[in-house]
Amino acid sequence: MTAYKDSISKFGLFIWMIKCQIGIALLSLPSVIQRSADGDSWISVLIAGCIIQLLLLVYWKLYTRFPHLILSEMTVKLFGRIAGKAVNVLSAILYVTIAGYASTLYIRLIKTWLLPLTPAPVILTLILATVVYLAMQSVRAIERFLVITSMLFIVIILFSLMAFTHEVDLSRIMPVGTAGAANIWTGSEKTFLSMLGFEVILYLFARVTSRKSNLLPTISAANLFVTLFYTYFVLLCLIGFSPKALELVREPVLFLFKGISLQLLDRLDLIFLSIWIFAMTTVFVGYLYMAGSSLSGGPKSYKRTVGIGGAVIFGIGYGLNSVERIELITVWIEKVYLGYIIGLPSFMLLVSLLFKKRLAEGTT
Amino acid sequence: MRRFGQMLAAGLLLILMTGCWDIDRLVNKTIVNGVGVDAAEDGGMRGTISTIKLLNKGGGQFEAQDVVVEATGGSISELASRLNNVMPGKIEGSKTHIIIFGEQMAKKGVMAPLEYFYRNPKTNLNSSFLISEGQASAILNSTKMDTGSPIAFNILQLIEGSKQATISPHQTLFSLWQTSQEEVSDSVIPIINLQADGELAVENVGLMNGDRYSGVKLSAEQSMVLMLMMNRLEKAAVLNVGTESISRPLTFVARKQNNDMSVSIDKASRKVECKLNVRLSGEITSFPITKEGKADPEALKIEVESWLEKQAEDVVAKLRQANSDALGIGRKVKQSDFAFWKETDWKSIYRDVKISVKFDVRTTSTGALY
Amino acid sequence: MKHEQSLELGKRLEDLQARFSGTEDLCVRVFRLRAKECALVYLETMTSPELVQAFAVKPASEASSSSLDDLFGPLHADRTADLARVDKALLEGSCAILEDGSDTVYLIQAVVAQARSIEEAKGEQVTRGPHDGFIEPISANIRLIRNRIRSPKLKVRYLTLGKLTQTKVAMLYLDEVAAPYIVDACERRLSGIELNSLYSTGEIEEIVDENPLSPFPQTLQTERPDRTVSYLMEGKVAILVDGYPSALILPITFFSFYQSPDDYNNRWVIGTFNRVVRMISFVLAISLPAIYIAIVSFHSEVLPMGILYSVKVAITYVPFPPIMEAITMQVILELLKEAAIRLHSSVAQTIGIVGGLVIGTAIVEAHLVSHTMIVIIGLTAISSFVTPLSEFGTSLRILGFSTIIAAAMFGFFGLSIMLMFIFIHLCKLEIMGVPYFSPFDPFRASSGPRDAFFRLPRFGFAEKWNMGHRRRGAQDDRL
Repeated sequence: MTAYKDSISKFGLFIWMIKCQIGIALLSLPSVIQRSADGDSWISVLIAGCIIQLLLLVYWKLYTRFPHLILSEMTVKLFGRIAGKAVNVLSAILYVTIAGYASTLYIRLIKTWLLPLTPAPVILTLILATVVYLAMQSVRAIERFLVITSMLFIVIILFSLMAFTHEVDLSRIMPVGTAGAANIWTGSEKTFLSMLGFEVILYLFARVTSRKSNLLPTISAANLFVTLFYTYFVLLCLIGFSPKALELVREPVLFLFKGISLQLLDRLDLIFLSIWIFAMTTVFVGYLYMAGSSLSGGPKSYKRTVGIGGAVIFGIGYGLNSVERIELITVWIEKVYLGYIIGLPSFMLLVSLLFKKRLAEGTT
Repeated sequence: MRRFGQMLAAGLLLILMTGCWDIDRLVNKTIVNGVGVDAAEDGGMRGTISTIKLLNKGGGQFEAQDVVVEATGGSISELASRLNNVMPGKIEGSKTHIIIFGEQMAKKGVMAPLEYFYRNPKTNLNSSFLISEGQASAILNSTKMDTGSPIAFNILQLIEGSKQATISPHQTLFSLWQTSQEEVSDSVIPIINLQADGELAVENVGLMNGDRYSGVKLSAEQSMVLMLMMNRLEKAAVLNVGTESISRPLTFVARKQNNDMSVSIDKASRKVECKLNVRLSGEITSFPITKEGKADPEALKIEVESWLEKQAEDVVAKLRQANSDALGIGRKVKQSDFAFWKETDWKSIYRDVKISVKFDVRTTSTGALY
Repeated sequence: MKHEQSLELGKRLEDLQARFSGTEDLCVRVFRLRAKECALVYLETMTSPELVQAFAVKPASEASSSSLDDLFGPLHADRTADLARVDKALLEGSCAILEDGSDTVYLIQAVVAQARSIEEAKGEQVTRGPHDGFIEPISANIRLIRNRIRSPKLKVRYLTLGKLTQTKVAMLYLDEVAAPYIVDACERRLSGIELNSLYSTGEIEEIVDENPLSPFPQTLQTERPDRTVSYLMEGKVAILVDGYPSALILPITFFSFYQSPDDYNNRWVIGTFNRVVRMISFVLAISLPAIYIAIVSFHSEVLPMGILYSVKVAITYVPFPPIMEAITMQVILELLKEAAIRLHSSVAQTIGIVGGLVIGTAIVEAHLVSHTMIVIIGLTAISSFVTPLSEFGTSLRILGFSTIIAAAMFGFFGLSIMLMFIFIHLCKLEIMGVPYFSPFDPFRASSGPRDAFFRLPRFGFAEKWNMGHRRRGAQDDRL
C-alpha cells in the first residue's frame, strides 16, 4: 500500500505528535498563565489537556470514516474537487502563517538570550535552512531524526531537577482553587495556544503501518505526555518563583536555570536553551510538512512546495519582525487558526455523519 | 532550477560570511568580581568595582592583583557605562560574586537599583548580597586580607563561613528577589564590617522591611538565635551560654533542629498570635568541672533554654522595631486562612502580632568527659 | 574475435605474438606429436616452470603415441577455440597447446603461486582475536572466508572488470540471509562499471557510492576476515578485488563503524563499556573544539570562576582568534599524521618527539597557540583515532571543521544548528534502501540498540537467522 519510505510506525506517530507540540511556548507559558490563574495555573494546563483530548477524539473519528487518507485528500472527497482544493490551499496558507508567527517568537528568544546583535534575517535563514532540509526528506527519515532528538527530553527533565537546588516553596500553590474557575479557564485558553501542533496527526494517520490499527491509544498517550510535561514545568516555576516575580519574568523556565551554578558549569540556561533549540526547530518541520502535503501530489512537487513554503515563512517571519505592534496582527492570527483546527475537522465530521458520506472499507 | 539553487546557496553563504556580529572575546573582557554601591551626597550613587589583573608568571602560573575603581552616577546602568570607560576592555558582570550595598544606600530601597541585574540576561543571579556597615567602597578597598586571592573571593569565603556557622543566611540576588516580591516574609541580610584592625568580618545580620533596610542590626548571638528560629541550622550552631559568669561558661553546640510554628487568628479583633517551638538537639562541648561536681544535664538544659529564650525576646523586640517579618509568619497566615490574608494589610498589623518562642533543648552527649 | 583463421600453426603463432605486442616473455616451444606439429605457448613470467614441466611437457613428451585429445582430456585441460579466451588464460598463467590443423587450443593451469604470507593487518589490530588478514591473491582471501563459513550457502560470483587490467572481482554473500534486492543492486552496479583499469576496492567504492557528497563513508573496507565473516552473517555483501588485500562490505550502517571484534571476544560488560567509550569519542571528535571556541568567543559566562581565569590567562598573550588557532593546530596534526605514515617505522618515533615536544610545547611558549587549545585539539585527535576504522575517523575530523566554523560564527546556536544538519543528514542517508542510522529505525527497534549502542550479553540476543530474513522481507516492496 504505502511504500516503506512513506510510512511510519506507531511509536513514530507518538514522537511526531509530541515534538510538534512541545516547542517555543513552554518557556514563557508559566508567566503568561500566572497573570490570570495565579497559583492554580497548573490546573489550567490539565484542563487544556482534557480539551485537546476531546479534539483528538474528533480527529480520530474523522479518520475512521476516511481511512488511509490524509486531510487534504479527505477534503477533496468530502467537498468535491474544487472546494476541497480551495480548502487545502487555505490550510497551507494558515500553516505557513502560523509558522511565520512562531518564527518571530523564536527569533526574539534567541536575540534576547543568545545572540543579541545578529540580524534577524540571518538567524531566520539558519533556522529555516535546517527546517527545509529536514522537511524535504521522506517521512521515515524525519521520523528517525525525531526519535533520536526525543532522547533530549530525558536530558531536559534531568536538567530540570537541578532547579530544586533553589528554595522552593510549596505554599505558593496552596491553597488549591483560590483563583476561581473563570481565571483558570482563561489560563486554559492561553495554554491551549501553546500546546498547538497536534493537528499534524491528521496528515500522519494514513502513513502509519502497523499490525494493530487502532491509533487512539497512541495519540492519547502522546497527549498525556505533553500535558504532564507542561504541568511539570508550570509547577516547577510556580513553586520556584514568588507570584509577583513570576508575572514579571518573560521566560521563567530559563530564569530558573540562570540562578544555578554547578562546579563545572555556570549559566545553565544557556545550555538548556542550546538543547531546546532542537525541540523548537522541529515544530516548524510539522507545519512545513502539513503545508507541503496539503498542496502537492507526489514526492517531487512535495520537495518544491516545501522549499517555497520555507521561503514564504521567511518572508512572513521577516515581515512580522519588522512590524512594531505585532500584538494586533498576532491576536487575529491566533484566533483564525484556533477556529480552523477546531472548526474544520468538526465541520467535516458533522457533514460526513449527516450526509452519510463515508469511505467504504477497502476503497481509496 | 539548479542554477537558482546554486545562486541561492551562494547568496546564503555570502550573508553568513559577512560578519560574526555577536563575538564577545574572552580576552577583551574585564571580569568584575565585586560591586559596591554607596549613596552619594547629591542623591545619586557611588559605585566601586573590583576586578583582578592577572600577571603571568610564566609556566602557567599567574598572580592575581586587585584593581579597585570608583565612579559616580545616577543609576547602576550609568555607573556601568562610566566604569567601562575607565577600565581596559569591556566590563562584564557575569561573574560578580558579591554585591555590597552601603547602609545608607540600602535604607533607600534595594530593589530599584538592583533591577539592572535582573533585566540583563547576562548577569549572575547567584551573586551574594551584603550590606556593609559604613561605606561599601571602604570594604572593597581594604587590603589587609590575604593578598593571594582577590578580595571578592575572600569576602565570599567569609559569607560561606558565617553561613556554615549559622550566623547569617547566604542571600543571593535570586533569593532576595523572591522574598522582596512577596509579602509573606522579609529578608535577612548578612552585614559586613571593617573592624578597627582592618580585618573584615561577617557576624551580624540586618533586617529588611520589604524593600528597605530597616537599620536594625542584630548582634552575633542574636543573629544565631534568629537563624535557629528561622529553621536555618546548618552543620552546627555554637551557642556560648553564660559566658558572663566566667566561672562556668557553658557551650552548647546544636546539631539538629526541628521547628514547629503555629498561628491562631482572631478575626474579630484582627489579632494574630504565633507560637514558635524550636527543638534543638546537640552536645555540650565545654563546661569546666569544678568542685560543684560534673555537669548535670537537666540543670544545663534549663540554663541553655532560658538563655535562648532571653535572646529570643530581644530578637522579637528587634523584629518588631524593624517591622520585619523575618520568620515568615505571613506565609503561615496565608496558608491557614487565605480569606483573612487577602483582606488584611499584613505590614500594618504585624507590629501587633504576639510572638512567643519556646525552646526545647536535648543534650545527646557531653563529650569525652562527664 | 572470430575471423577466418588459418589453421596453419605458424600463422597462428604469428598472430598470437602480434596480439601480445611481440612481448619477449612469451615462450613458444614447437614440438611434434604423432607427426603433427604442436606448439606449447606460455608466459614465462606468469607460469611456474615446475608446473609447466609436470602438467604439460611431461605428458606430451612421454605419451607420444596418443593424440592430444586423449592426453589433455577434459580432466586435464580446458579446450577452447575462442582466441580471446586463450589470451586471457595465457595472461592468467596457463599454458596453451596449439595443434596444427585444428582450432582447438588446450589450456593447462600452471600459474606460479607466490604470495605474501598471511599476517595481521597493521591498520586493524585487536587485542584479542585472530591475527590473520587478507593478502593479495583473491583465491587466498576467499579461502580465508570459506574456512570460517563452511556452509554451502556461501555463494561466490565472479566478475571481471577493467578493460586493460582484467581484474578478477568476487562478490560473496550468504544465499538465504542476504536480501535479494541488495544482491541484485550490487550486481547491477558492478556490471555497469566500465573502466580501463581497476586496482582496488576503493575505486569500486567510489563508483558504487550513492551519495558522493556525504562526508560519511557508505561502505566499509576491512582487511580482517573475521570481521568480513560477521558482516556476511548479517546479510551484507562482500566484494573482493584480486591484488588488493581488502574486502568491501556494503550496505553498511553508522554503528558498524564503531564495532570491533574485541567487543565480542570479551565478556559483555567490557564490550558495552568499550562501545560507550567509542560513542563518547564520536561526540567529542565532532564537537569539542567547536564547544571551546563557542565558549571563548561568545559565551564565556558558562565557565565557572576557577576555569575561567585559567583560560583567560592562557589566551591573553595569543594574538590570533581561537578559530585560527584551532584550524592551525588541526592542520599541523594532519601533517604530522601524514608524515608518520610515510616514514620508516624506526624514524616515525622521531616524529612523535618532534610533534609532541617541539611543536606542541614550543608553539605554546611562543604564544602562537594557547595551552588550552592544545589540550582540546589533542583530545579531539585522540577521539577521532578511537574509531576502529580510520577512514571514519578522518571523516569525523573533516566534519569537525564544519562545526568549528559554525561555532565561530554563531556560538552555541551555530553549533546546535550544525549538529542538527549533521544528524538530519545521517538520518536521511540510505544505502540501497538500508537506513544509515539503522538501529534507530523504529521498525527494527527491538534488535537495534542491543547491538549498536551496547553489547548486551548473548543470552539476550535472538540468534535467529530466519527472523532476520523475514524482517528484511518487509522491505521487499522496494523492488
